[in-house]
Amino acid sequence: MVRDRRPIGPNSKTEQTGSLDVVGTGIDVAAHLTPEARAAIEEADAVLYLAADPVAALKIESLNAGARSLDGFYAPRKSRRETYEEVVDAIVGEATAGRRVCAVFYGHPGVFAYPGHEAVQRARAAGVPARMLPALSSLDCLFADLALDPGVGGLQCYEATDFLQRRPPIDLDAALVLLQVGMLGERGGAESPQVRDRFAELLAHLRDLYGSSTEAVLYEASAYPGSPPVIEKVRLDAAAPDAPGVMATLLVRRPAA
Amino acid sequence: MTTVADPPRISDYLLRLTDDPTLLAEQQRNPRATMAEAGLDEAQIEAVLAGSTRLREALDDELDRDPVRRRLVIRPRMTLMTDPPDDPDDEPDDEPDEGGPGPSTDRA
Repeated sequence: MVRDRRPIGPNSKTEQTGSLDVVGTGIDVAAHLTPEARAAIEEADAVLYLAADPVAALKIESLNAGARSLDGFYAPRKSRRETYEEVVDAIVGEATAGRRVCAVFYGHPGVFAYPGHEAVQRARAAGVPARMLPALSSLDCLFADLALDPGVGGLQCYEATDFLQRRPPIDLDAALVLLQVGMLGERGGAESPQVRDRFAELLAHLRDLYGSSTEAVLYEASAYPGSPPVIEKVRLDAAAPDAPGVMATLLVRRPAA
Repeated sequence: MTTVADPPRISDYLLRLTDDPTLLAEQQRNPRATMAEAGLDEAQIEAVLAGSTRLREALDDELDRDPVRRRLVIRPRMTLMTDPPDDPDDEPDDEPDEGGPGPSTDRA
């Protein structure tokens, strides 16, 4: 099947020269950057990016010499909502000015990436063709590294702080994945010593649900070729667990019967 | 007089992997030997093999010594789930929360 590479949108206008592609680098840019994302970066008039690691930033800038980081919109004590709005405005502003824009995000541009979705919606609302290209997220890496098939038993996935606060009902027979567990309760987006206490609270909640003998796995995908992922077992009855790594994800699943 | 060449920078080596599928495959198959062949020194190789956290520290140290690339020393920006737009100012960046879990989420 030949894939139609033309940007699409409900309000596409053929006379509009601007366009927006929102793409992701994957977790490991050397191994995960897709050919279509690479082409979108190379062919864009304006490339705006948010990278989580310097190699990804160097790669993006090597593909398009005019690429600009959006990291400068983040600042201490600045409302994250304000930052997100500025990021979206910068992306959509370039596209509505008639440029072919490529916005590049870490991982998958639509997984835990509010500005990516918002930019596509606003661009389309302004009559600019816009599309989001799929990419590899940490969840995809987890499926491979931890041999988890969501088709077997099912999968529940939550942002860890959201899960701890709302405590939604869960299916104990389906795998539970909690993302950003290393940032539990951190409104500012930077880890603090309180994460360890909140992690202990989270484990206690999970122990109430699953029982004390269940093991969970702290997981961090590898961001670089030849560098191993972090896979660390943690008991739900751990009295004083260490704080998880900043990039950690927690997987809980019942052992096979 | 003989001169000893500096080992390649880790960042340059990793960037090279993004453009060389054969080298990338070798790196994934046998990272220690492939990095040694590429001229990385033992400390650099150990940093890569130790995992992303230690490698990231080594990368940041390396970039911090380069006035051109220093700007690339950035820390990962975790996604904060935003409240509805009419909520008053909250979610200050880089300001640790004093209490329990953060704000309710509207997006995942």
